[in-house]
Amino acid sequence: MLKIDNLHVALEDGTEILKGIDLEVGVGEVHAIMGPNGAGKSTLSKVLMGHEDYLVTAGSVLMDGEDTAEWAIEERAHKGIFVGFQYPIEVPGVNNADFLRLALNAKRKAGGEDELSKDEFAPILDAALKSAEAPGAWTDRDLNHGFSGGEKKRNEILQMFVLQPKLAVLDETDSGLDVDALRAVARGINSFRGAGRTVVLITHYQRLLDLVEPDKVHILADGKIVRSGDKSLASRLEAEGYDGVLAHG
Amino acid sequence: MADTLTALATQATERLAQLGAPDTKSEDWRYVKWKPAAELELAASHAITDTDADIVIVDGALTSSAIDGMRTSPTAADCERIATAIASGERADLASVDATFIGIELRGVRATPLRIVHHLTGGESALRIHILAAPGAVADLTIETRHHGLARCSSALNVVCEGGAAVRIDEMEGGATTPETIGVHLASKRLEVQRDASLRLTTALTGGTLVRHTTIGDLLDENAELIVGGATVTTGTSQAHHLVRLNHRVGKARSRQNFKTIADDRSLATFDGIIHVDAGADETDAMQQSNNLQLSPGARIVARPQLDIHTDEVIASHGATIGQPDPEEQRYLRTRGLDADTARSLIVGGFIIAGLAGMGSLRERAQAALLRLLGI
Ligand SMILES: Nc1ncnc2c1ncn2[C@@H]1O[C@H](COP(=O)(O)OP(=O)(O)OP(=O)(O)O)[C@@H](O)[C@H]1O
Ligand SMILES: [Mg+2]
Repeated sequence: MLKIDNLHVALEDGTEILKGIDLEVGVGEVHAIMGPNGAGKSTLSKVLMGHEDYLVTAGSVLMDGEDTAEWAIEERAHKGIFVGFQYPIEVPGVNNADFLRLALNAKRKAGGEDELSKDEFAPILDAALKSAEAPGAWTDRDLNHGFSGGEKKRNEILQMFVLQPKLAVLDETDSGLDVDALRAVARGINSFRGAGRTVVLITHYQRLLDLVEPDKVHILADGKIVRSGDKSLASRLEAEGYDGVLAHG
Repeated sequence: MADTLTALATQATERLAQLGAPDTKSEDWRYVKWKPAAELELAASHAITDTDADIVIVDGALTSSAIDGMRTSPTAADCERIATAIASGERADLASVDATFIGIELRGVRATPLRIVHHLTGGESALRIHILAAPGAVADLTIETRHHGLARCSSALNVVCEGGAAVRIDEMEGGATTPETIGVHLASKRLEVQRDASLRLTTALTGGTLVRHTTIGDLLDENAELIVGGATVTTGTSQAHHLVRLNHRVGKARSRQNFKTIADDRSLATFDGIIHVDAGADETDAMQQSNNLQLSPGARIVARPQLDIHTDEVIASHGATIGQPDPEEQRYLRTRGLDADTARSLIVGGFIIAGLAGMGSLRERAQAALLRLLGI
């Protein structure tokens, strides 16, 4: 599904942030990426989405065997890549439900499918609301505008369920969620995974990984994946911290 | 009353002659381009048949019959307000003293909005509307100025909200008409809010040869609330100006100014606002915000949010932004599959929609009209 090979990424001023990432995620798998603040986790997710401020200076990202290098941001969305951002943006005046329908229609159009009318979209939105366990009232509000930190994260999950991407990269979706919201989001991710979708979870905490069991856990530090293992790696991190785990090998 | 009014009119004419044409040396007219307005060739007036409103005015002349609670000549109290207006020397007030007068008294709870439409087809006209919301009155009003041909108009709107009244006024000028058919409109609005009363005035404005709205509001008693704002779009070489002065005369009252403007092409849009708080008006809660989008480098935007505060115990915030559609917002929308143009249109449209969110029955039409003007 996703194959990242020796990925190097730099800022326009030449500062290198990702320094040779190798990562392979199979269809239907859930991988967790953990790592210290500033390691480059969010940068990796933004690069996967095609963010223009980050320049790929070497290496490649393949989706289903296709090189993504030339894909524009929206094209990536059409091809089934979704990033739930660490800091979702507020867009005042843009109604959530209208936006979701526009987004889905853009994807359908790119895939040669008919666009959906409001009536045709309604059941899809209802189903997504149910899967995301999100309150229906959110659809009347403006996109992320005035949403609390946790609500914004959950609104990203709602978008994910509407768009039904093949690959979802969720960047610290668990940060800022209360205990009930965390469980709801975990249920959502598990059902999404159950439908054969691929998930990359970026997180700092084991508590999410107790609820959504990852197939693999990677540690990203200073722009590189420095360690990969199974779920037990996350427990070791919780107990020993990055210094401990990385020092002992 | 006729004698009083005649005297006031004479006074106003003299004052107007004294003032002469406004120039940019006057602080309040600093940013206004007066020349195109002075050189404007007016279209000929023509009749309009409109049954689409409760009160229909064509080029300053009342063409519909009176409705409940309406009068067409000023009372002694009205004359007092006119005298106050003359003293302030606001041009639109001076020119509207002996114009067509419409007085409306609101009592009780009005179930449906009261709709006033002023058609401007050409020529010179003036209009004065006084609205008195009696204690406890609850009402929605819509006031539209529809431009059909190049006209020159001065209008004065006086709104008094007595104790506990709750009034919402949706105002729309220009709308879908192109700026080329919009001549000169100088509007002067005076708003008074008394104890426990609330007045919300939201204005959707389109630029023209010269469109200038002056809003002077007084919060006269505790727990009064005055919310003014709206969205303005200027395109082509049009200009639109908002001058807002909200005065907190006593403490514990609340005011909001929230103006959004989009200027495109080579147009000019200004916002000049002041929150004034009298000495002793403690526990005032006031906010003033001017947000502007400049869609092309030739468009000019001036935003002057100002505070004039004479007491310590207040919550007053003010701010202004001038910028382009936010690239971060645009990118975010693209990550969900929208192309760059659609994303930009949504953000620009969203700006207008947010600016008019406070409107009642006129909201959808006003939003649609301004979006259409921007080609969205
Ligand atoms: N646009 C940018 N300009 C300057 N520095 C940047 C930019 N983007 C990322 N960086 C830097 O690159 C590094 C990696 O940032 P990134 O946001 O990817 O970290 P992260 O692993 O997601 O951290 P956190 O766990 O705190 O979210 C940081 O040092 C950050 O300051
Ligand atoms: Mg991050």
